[in-house]
Amino acid sequence: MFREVKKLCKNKWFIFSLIGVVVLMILSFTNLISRYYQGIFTSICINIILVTSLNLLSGYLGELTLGHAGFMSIGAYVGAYITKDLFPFLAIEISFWPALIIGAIIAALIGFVVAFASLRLKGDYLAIITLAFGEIIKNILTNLELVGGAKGYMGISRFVNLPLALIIMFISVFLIYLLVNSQYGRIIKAISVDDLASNNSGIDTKAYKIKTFVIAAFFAGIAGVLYAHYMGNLAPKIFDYNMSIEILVMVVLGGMGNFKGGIISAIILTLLPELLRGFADYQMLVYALILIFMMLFKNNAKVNAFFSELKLKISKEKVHE
Amino acid sequence: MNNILHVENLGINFGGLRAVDNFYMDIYGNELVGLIGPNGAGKTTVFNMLTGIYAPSEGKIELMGESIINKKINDIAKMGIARTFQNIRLFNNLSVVDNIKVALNSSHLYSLKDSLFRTKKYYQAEEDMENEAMELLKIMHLDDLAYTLAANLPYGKQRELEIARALALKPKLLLLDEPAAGMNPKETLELINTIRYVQDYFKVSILLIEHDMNLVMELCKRITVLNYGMVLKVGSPLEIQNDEEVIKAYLGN
Repeated sequence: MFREVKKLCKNKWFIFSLIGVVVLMILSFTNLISRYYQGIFTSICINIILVTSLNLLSGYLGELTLGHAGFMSIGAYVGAYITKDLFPFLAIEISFWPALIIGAIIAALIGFVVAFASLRLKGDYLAIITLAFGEIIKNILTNLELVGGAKGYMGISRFVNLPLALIIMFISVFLIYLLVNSQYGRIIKAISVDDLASNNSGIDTKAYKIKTFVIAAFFAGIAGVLYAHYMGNLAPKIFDYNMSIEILVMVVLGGMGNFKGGIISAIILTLLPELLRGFADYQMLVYALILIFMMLFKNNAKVNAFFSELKLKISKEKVHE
Repeated sequence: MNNILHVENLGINFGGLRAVDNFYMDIYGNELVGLIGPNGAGKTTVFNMLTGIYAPSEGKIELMGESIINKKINDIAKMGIARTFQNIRLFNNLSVVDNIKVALNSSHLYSLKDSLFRTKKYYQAEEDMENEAMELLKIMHLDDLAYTLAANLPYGKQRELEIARALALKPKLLLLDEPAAGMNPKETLELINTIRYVQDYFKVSILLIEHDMNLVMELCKRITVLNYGMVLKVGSPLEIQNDEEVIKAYLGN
């Protein structure tokens, strides 16, 4: 573990994010940023966990899934049920931690079931199955009186604040990073380009697909528990396919299987709707337009050439100085 | 006798089509055998049955006396049958050395727990894998390209990497599906040397499908000719070259 951290300290992106996390923590402890911004940064943390975990599934393994909000909702409801109804007599500082772990584990179990059921499917078909799964979860939650049903689940302790979200986000992302940069990551990347060739190289591709579903669902569950204890109330209709697609858009925009790209796009796409509040009625329209332009120009040769030239100029000027 | 592969009465139906019928073959230790035949004769179908991609409708396939029928593809690979593909199938998004490491997985297992906590076992396995992969690449003269992306290799090198990846499984039997396809004469010559070297160095038996008759006649001690899914002739290169039926199958009447 220590060796890995040492190696990471030479990575400027790791240093950047570490500084970012520490600065945000200090700012929120000293109350230098308003509650409003603390809220936005907390949702960024939750989205980063969601995007990195979906990146594992859709980016690295290359399986298009549209049910990530479903896994998240399981984590959210299980976690909330544990802290609110199962152990109401315990202080939230104590009951939150088992809730976090159990919520994630239940989400991972459901991930296992979904993976097992959809093992033979690929591409569009898998996307449809996972979409259906997300809707099933949503409908079950809507009809489950135990957790408030369609009215929503109210009165969950709002235990999660920015520092806590930052710490959990950082640990989750670090763990996923360790997984991606190991033999496991190598193998799921290999499976994504050639299922048969990896199978013929002695890899049990089915087992790896199931493992990846389980891991992705686990971290989605963690994001869900965070979300529940940050919002304080839950409604099944939040976790519909729109949310799954939103997470997928972040993954696609950051680049499928691009670790830091996913994180950056999670930050940008969470901030963007907030920044566009000024446009009021046209907020979603402008959001969609920006998305389209980003997609169009991300891999445009002329735009890339412009930026690389700019980079060159800047570095030359530095040399002159 | 050290019989590596024993195939008997092998057949497969695709719907109403009898793709391969009563196929038989024996391969002995450290032997190089060719499988030839006109297009559509069923050569690749035989390969796919040997590697478990298709389940044969009937017949026996035994590797070192152990049946591989109804075994999983990855288990057959671990038992000792490795292959390359007609159209090169590398892991293009990985570096050359990582391509090898993926195939080394079964001999250097460590769990997700080891990679999460970066245990001693993780570092040990990764180090061993790196060393073994580099050694293999050195033998195949690919070591100077170890950290380039597989997709960026020239065509001939991609073929060699695919063979190297198959060898990483430490196979007893190596199946090469048209290794010289799309190569120029110079590259083919290099390939012939590579295959010979591999056979000697790794003491592996090789079965190859090829349309390039120079390569086949040069390399193979024994050749099986397949036509319309059936074995037409088994014999030495000289016998095959002068057989009237074989010439008819290739050129028509």
